[in-house]
Amino acid sequence: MKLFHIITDKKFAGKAAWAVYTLCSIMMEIMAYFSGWALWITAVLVIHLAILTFLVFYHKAPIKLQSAFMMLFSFSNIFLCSVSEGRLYPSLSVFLGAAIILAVYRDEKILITYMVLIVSGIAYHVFVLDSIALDTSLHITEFIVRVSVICTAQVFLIIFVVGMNRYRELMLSSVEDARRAEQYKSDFLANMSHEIRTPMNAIIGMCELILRENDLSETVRENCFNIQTSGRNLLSIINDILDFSKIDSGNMELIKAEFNIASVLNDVINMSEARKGIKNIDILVNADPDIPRGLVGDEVRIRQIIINLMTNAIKFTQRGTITLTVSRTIQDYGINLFVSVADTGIGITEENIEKLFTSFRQVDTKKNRSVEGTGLGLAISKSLIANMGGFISVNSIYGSGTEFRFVIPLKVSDARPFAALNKPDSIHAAAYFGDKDFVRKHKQLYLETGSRLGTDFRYAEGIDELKKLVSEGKITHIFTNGEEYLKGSDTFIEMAKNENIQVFVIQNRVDAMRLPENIKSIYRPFYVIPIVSALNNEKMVVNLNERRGADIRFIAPRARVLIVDDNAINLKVATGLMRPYNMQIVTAQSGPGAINMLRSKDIDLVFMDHMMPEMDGVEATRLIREMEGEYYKKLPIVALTANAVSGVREMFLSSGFNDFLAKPIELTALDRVLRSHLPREYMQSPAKAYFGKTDRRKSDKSGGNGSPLLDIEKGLSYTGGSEEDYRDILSLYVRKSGEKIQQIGELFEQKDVKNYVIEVHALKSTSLSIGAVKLSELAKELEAMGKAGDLDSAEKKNSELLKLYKEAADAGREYLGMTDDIPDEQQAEAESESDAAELSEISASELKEYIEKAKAACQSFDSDAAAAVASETAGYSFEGEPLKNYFGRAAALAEDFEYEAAENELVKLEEKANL
Amino acid sequence: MHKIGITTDCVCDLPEEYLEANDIDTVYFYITTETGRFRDGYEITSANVLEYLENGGEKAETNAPEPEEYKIFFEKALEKYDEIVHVSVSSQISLSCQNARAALKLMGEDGKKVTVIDSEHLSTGIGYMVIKAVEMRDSEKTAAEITNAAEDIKSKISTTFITLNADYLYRNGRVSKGVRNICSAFQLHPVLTVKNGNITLKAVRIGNYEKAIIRYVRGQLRHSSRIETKRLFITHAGCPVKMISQIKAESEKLCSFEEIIVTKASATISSNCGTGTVGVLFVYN
Repeated sequence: MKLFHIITDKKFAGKAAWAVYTLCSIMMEIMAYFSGWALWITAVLVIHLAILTFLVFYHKAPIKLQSAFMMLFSFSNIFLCSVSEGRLYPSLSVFLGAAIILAVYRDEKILITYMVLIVSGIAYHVFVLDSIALDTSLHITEFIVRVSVICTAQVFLIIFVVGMNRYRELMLSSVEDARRAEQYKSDFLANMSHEIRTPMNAIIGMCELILRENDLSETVRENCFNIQTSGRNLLSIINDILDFSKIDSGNMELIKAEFNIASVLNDVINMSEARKGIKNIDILVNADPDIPRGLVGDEVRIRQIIINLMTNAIKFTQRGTITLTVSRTIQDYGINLFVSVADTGIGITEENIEKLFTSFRQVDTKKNRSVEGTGLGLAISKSLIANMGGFISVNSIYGSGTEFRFVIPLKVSDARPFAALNKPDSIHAAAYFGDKDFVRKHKQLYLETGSRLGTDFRYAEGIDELKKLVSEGKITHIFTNGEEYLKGSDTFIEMAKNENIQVFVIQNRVDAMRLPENIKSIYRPFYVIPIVSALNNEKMVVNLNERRGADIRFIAPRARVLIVDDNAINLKVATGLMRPYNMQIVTAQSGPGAINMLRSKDIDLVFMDHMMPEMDGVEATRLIREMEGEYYKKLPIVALTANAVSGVREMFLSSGFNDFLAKPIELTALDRVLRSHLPREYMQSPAKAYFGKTDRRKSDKSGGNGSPLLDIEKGLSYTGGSEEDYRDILSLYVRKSGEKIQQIGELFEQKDVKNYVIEVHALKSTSLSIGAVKLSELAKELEAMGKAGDLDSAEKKNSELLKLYKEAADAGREYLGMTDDIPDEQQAEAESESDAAELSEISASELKEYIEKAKAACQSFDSDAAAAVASETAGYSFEGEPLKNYFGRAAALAEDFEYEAAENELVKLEEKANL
Repeated sequence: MHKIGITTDCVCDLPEEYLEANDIDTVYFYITTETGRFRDGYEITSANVLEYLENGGEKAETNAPEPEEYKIFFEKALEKYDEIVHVSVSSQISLSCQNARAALKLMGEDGKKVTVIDSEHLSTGIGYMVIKAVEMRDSEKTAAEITNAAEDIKSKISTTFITLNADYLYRNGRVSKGVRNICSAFQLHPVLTVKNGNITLKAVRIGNYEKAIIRYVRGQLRHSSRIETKRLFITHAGCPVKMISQIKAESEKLCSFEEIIVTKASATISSNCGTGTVGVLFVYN
């Protein structure tokens, strides 16, 4: 193989041929001198050699030119030798030299022709020139030996060259096969990625939407959570395989962007706490607060590496501690981010450490049979770290534990510490964690954190010492753990009565005890972020994975976002995931539909699916970019795709997209994309928005703040604090109430259980969405009774329901400031008449398109999409008829889960318009 | 009580547990690659640097700490101790001794509380002097007595290594390209020794590397009667566990050491000698 490489190295071949040529030339010069050849031959030989020397050693000379001249001059030498030298034998060495030169260039045909030439030359010498003496047996023997040597050498060279050429072809074909197989593998992974990730998107996304519901039973919530967890686990395995494939093909892409280590730590810790489950493991976090607030690197990948190391530590540790250390050293280019994960698990033997970072390998497999995993995690982490310019290492003592360390050089965009106290000088904290062995580490971490924060942190060795510190009057904050609090709760409660002292109890999130009002909880792990939050009197950093939008850091009510996806379920998932941001979301199910919607130029951000029938996302984006006007060039378009294999990002970016979001949509990734591409001025904090809206509530002027039946605050919380949305929903609810009360009453009397259940089911969720909690609960109860076929005993409850329904509607009417109880249709018509003069006319084709869209929404049971179409068409009329009447009615029906009736409404419009 | 602290450079290659157990503070050396600057032993290991270079990494410069860093290091150590004896890597090989002494000047009066010893050795060769200093400290000797004892042992330490080839020596400018090519072509394995503080070529072993290592061990330990049998260090850079076991077995066969300690060379040492380098380091009687 090595020989093959040497021979196929063209530069080496050139130099070897030149060496042989030089030897031959020197030999010819000697022959010329002793045989008295013409002087010009000597000159020609020197010039040839000089030219070749230049061509071989001048690095810019093309190899082809070099080989062409080499062959030409070799033939020229043979010619000169043949015409000048009467004797055959001295020429044979020149012939042989030329043959070697030709062999170096591996041209079989020239070599064979050359052999024929040599044989002819020998025959010419023997038979024509008669220059060979064959008179004695000695001369004959000499002739045979010499000719045999040259012919054998010649044949050998031919065989060698033919063999090498065949071998080369075989190698090239193998390389081609391997390349093709690699391509097949990439294609397969791309397809597999798309095919698996698309349904996974639906599973995980739908679970997310279900979990956001309030009225779930514990069993359903738990089952749904388990489905989502399993979905995420499966997805993480798929992601591992995809990552490995990217690394394997050298296509791993890193995205450098500004990030804060606090967010990474928060996610890692929450995930680790959740993953450790019931295992008796204490997770300790030692994070240096001086790590700069703004770092530049691939946050997602750094989080992935730390999570992977933490997951491994949790897997292989049954009890004890896992210590996560994060620190930094300042460098000229920024910092070195140092991360260590040390556990007290089973450890790794010296031999196994050597194999540890090998792909598909879990060490000590017999012992770890219960441990799941693809065995790719460490190999992926190692490659990611290497790609970031860093290093990973492992230290382990078999039976005692393992420590993984890694370091990554990062640039800094904001050098301020990521965790700092507002007033370090005014803080005097004291802690007491008891006297058990395991608190030693907690104590050490606490004191180190205090020293790093540059404030006064003291540790009391006993409760008496703590009391003494407090009595000295210098303590402002006290930290203790749950166990010590229980032992001396009276003492701590007494201490907390002092308004200058704040007492914090460190607890596990899962089994946290209820504390008196003036004593606060800090959830484990107890480390710099919760400590700083507590000392700064900030809201505790909560679990980022908590439900109901707890992780939503901003809302953007003014932002209009278009989501384009041919799959209605995916649209619903994406819309649902974005709802907490309180943006105005519109949807399109095709590229042309999206382009059409963009003509109004009022969209701020587009999420475009990649693979769609007829016109895919790439083509649609290209057409959008080609549209006239600066708006279309600058409009942020984010690719939304389940195809997450290597190279896709570049393809999207070069196709006019601004960013890339992989499906299933991860909330953190979505948050990043929205923060990057929405106009800054549109973003506001959820709290600010909420209270801002509350301040200018219309209810203050008209209907008051609801009644005991109607919890307005709760209703508002479902619309992200938007009163406008809440009023819309409430208005629809109130208008429908008369008709619905009558309908429910009739269904109950007729004992139409099936339809009764459907109606009360709808009432349950719509009532909850306006804040009519009591009514919703009663509806839920009746729904259950109906499902159990037990409506006979429900008469009283039904009457109560109808009464509550009416009262809730009245309360809503009062809140909205409605004076007359105008029936739904009449009110809509009255509104439409007054608005008709301001409506713009729409063409038949545009109307058809809207009808199709609304129909598709109904067919995919998507009330939101139907409402979106109604909202889009509200400003149009067709032949003087406001479209609001039809689309609005259809949307209202869809809202009540009457999708078929909604579709019929649209068919009516279609027929009326002769479409 | 007058407290004396023993400190050293991280390239002393003593096991972490020993350093921790005996309160020996070490000062970090640095490895600078194309992507960043890393603290030896803490942020980058021997295995890291060797793998990096074998995978096409071109730059792995080693740097001793600057005088300012030594100053901070000594000042921090003086918070715990009244006096310090610092054992430094050979001044002929690294700037560390020079920088440490420059730091003493920067420290003013406090500088007088620190004694810097030029070990004239590297790796666990320094380690032997550190161990001697620790033994003396534990016997409550003065800083001057500790220094004298460490200086006395200096000439008795045998610091030698055998390397797989001359690639890393060439990379660091210690041999020419021609020598490197000859070593590769003829499977020559240089045996290096530290003499008067300098690295010099002691011998060359030919042929299969595993066999060459065993021959090197036999050569080193052939005069077993002259060797102090208290302790033997086997210090290596990226040697497989199996190979180390063979070396250990061979050493035990040749000389009955009370203790054989296997240590990994620091990243600084490894980046200068390459994968497969191994040394048996001992003290003559």
